[in-house]
Formats: sequence, C-alpha cells, structure tokens
Amino acid sequence: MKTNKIYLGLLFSAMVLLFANCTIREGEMAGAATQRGYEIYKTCESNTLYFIDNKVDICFKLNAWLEADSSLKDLLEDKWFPNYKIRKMSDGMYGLYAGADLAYSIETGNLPLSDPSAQWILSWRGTERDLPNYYDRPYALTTSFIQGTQELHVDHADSTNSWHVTIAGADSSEAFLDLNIVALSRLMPQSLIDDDFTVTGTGKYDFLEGKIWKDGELAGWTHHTCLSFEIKEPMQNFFAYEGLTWNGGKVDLEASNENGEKLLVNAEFKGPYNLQITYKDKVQIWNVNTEQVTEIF
Amino acid sequence: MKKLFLMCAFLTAVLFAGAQNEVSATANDDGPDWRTTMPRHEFSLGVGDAYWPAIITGVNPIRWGDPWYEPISPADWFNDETYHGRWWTAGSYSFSYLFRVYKFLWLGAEVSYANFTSKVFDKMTDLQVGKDAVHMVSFMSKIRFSFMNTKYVTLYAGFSLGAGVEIETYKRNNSTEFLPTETQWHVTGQLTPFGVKAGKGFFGFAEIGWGYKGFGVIGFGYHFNAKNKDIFKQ
Repeated sequence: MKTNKIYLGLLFSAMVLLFANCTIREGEMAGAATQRGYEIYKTCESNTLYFIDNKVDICFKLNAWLEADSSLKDLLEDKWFPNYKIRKMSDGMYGLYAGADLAYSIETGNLPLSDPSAQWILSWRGTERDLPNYYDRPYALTTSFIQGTQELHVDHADSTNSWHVTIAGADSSEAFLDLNIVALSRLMPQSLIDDDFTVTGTGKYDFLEGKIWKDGELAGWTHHTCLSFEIKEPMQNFFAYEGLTWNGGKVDLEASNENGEKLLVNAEFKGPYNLQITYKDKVQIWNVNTEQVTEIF
Repeated sequence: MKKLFLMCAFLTAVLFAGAQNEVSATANDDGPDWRTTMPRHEFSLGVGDAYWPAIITGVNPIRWGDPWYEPISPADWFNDETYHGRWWTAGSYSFSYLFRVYKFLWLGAEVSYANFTSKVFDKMTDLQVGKDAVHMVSFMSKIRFSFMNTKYVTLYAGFSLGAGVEIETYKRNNSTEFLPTETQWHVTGQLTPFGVKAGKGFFGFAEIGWGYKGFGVIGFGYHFNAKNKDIFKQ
C-alpha cells in the first residue's frame, strides 16, 4: 500500500514536471524600432490623400464636367458622380444631390479652375460617413472635418498648373489643411487622382476618440490626439495595389495628446518605395510596398 | 496502428467481460448491495495541459494564415512601446469531488486553475520593464458515467460545465502608475470521452478530453466509503 502511494506520488510529480513550466506561446518579435513613427506617417498620408481624393477632386471633376461638351456631360456625370446628380442652384453655384438631399454645394464664381482668378468653395455638412476607411487602417481616421459645415477653398495659385487648397476645422477644431497641389502631367487635369501630382504645405488633424454621452447627447471625447505636419519637399503621389500612396518627398510630423506628450517623426523618401523614418533617434528604411524595414542605421 | 487499436479493443473487451461476470455473480448470489462494496465518495487532484485556457484567454489565440497587420489607434500612439517574451504556464490544476449516486452515475463539482506569465520588454532597449500574468479559475459542476466498474479499475466518461473568471494583472518596473487588473467571465467546461482510474483507496487516473482542465489530465485521488470501510482491505 505504501509502495503504491509512493508510485502515485512519483507519477504525479513526473506529470507536474512535464506540464509545468512549459512555453505556451513563443515570444513576440521586438519589431521595428521605428514602427510607431511609420504608423504616424501612414496616418498622415492616408488622411491627406483621402481628403484630396474624396473632397478636393470633386472640384476638378466638376470643372471638367462644366467644360465638357453637352453630349459628354451625362457620361461624365455617371462616371465621376455615380451616386449624385449635378444641379445648377444659382448663377455660378452647383449642387451635388443624393436623391433629394444636397450633399455638396460648389461655388465657382463663374470661373473655371484653370482661370488664374478662380476661387472655388466646396461646402458640405460633415458627417462620420466622411471618415476615411483606408483599406486595412480603420483607425487612420480624422474626425477633424466631420462636425458642422465644412468649407474647402480651392484657389488657382501663381503657376498655371497649381492650386491652393485650404480648409479650417469647424466647431473650434484646431484642424486645418493648407496645401499646394501641383499637377505634373497636364496643365488642367480632369481628375487629380487620375494624374500625377505633388503636394506641399502644412496641416493638422484632430483625432477624437471615445465618445462621452450625457443625456443622450455627445458631451465630449475621452481621447484627443493631434497630428501636425509640414511638407519639406513635395510629396509625390503613387498608385499602389492598395490605393493611392506617396512615393517621394519629405515631411516632418508631430503627434501630441491631451496630456502634453509629443512624438516627433521625420519621413523622407530615399528612392522609389524606400522611406527613411527617423523616430526617437532611431533611423530605419522602410519599403512602403512590403511595409518591412529593409535597412537599419 | 491497426494492431494497436485491435489490441486495445481486445483488452477493453476482456476487462469489460470480467467486470460483467463479477457484477452478475454478485447479483445472482444475492450478494451485498453495490453501495457496500464500491466507494461512494471521491476526491481527486489532477494536472493537465493548459492549451485550451490559453486559447480562450487570448494568450495563444488560434490564427489562420499569416499574422494580420493590426494598426493602432492614434490614442494609443503614446502607450509604452513594449513586446512580450514567451508565455509560460505551470499547467492546469484541478480539484474535484464526486458522489456516486448510482453504480454507474457520479455527480459532483470541480475547480480548475491555470496561469500564464510573460515578461515585458522595452522595444527600444530590449530591457525587461515588467511582467504580465493571466489567471483562469473555473468552477464547474460535474457528471460522470462509469461504464466499467471492477474492483481495481474503472473506465468512465463525463463532462463538466460551469463558469470561470479570467484575471489579467500587469506589473511594470519603476512605475508608480496604477495598472488596473482586468477581469472577464467565461462559460467553462470539460468534455471527457474517456477516463481510466486504477486503485482502491488511493487511486491514480488519466483522462483525455477537451476543456479547461486540459486535453490530457492525470492525477491521483482517494475514495471514501461511509458504509463499509473494509472494502479497501479486501
């Protein structure tokens, strides 16, 4: 009997040793030291290009529609505004209607965008539906321009193929964009995103996360993160498999939060697809196609 | 493999036949009731692998295909830039009590516990900056069907069902910041299609199954019999 108990004890101890202190999951890779900096850069890139693609380009497409022969207008309307109908609201004023709802109004001043004196104003009522959902980056959202009525100004700049684009966040938002867009392939592109262009300028995005409700109304947000950027060398657009990206240029970024913390990032293209990210004194080259670090300094 | 299966089937058949003979002999001879010849109370302690609790708690989640890219929210840009080292476990431990209602039917309860720990490292310096832990405690009611009951060997199947709490704790070096403990409740269970125990008073057991106790469980226990203590001396 005593021997049996000893055997049982030994068996149990052996099993404990077998099961105990075993690895249930291998450790994570440390990952790239500049991963967070790359994230911040991609957030700026996706938001800026989303804005150009979905807001600024409305002006260019409408300009092309206005200048097209009447026989082509229906074709262009279906191609570029499949969800809207273009209606003239008043002299020099056009509206994009989704059914009976006015989605966008465009004040042209009766001047085409190619005119040196052109000053267009695109207005819309900001909603959360305007948030970019940029392929696999669902958090790369700016809530800067979704509240209240938004006004985007597109003015012809000094040179014939460049335009000055500005927008200020409504409802006391600190967000703004002050960009210069230069068309590279044509003097007057029909659609920006069908063309090559560069972007320079500055901007700031507000990221408001975690809604706080009080008495059924939005009372505030739990997190308030800002992202400021200044383009030092023109950012060049590129059509990647995933969509519109940048593939040239240099930009300085600064992220800050409600606690006064700051993160500085410098992003500079060193060749096609090769983006050098400097973050917390670490310098690494990222391949923007594979999203992998290819070189470490 | 086929030979092994046939041998197991043969041994099981022999054991089962032996058990039937013993039972029928007792019944035909108008022998003592099973309550006086077989133990009715059982306590046991087991240890098993902790793979299932690791999956459920997210310590080692099942992922199909390549690891997906997980972008982080801007609100998380200012979080610590850290990564986890390997996750360790000391296995899943269980303690159970069973009462024999009928010769073939046992009812009872059990508690199981598994824990996982991992060191946390700073991404920039690779130095350890903390330690995270996940504890999983399950409270389950248990039912067992013993389909072969001999003097020394019992074969059985059964299952358990209950609730469990997952507790996550975070510890950071040189940090005065309060790191909250997170808790989450789960429905917990254990399916045991096959178990075997051997012994009289003290016994050892082994089970294969699926659940919070492990895919494989082994342990020991003790039988109590209130009506006839002499059965262990036979």
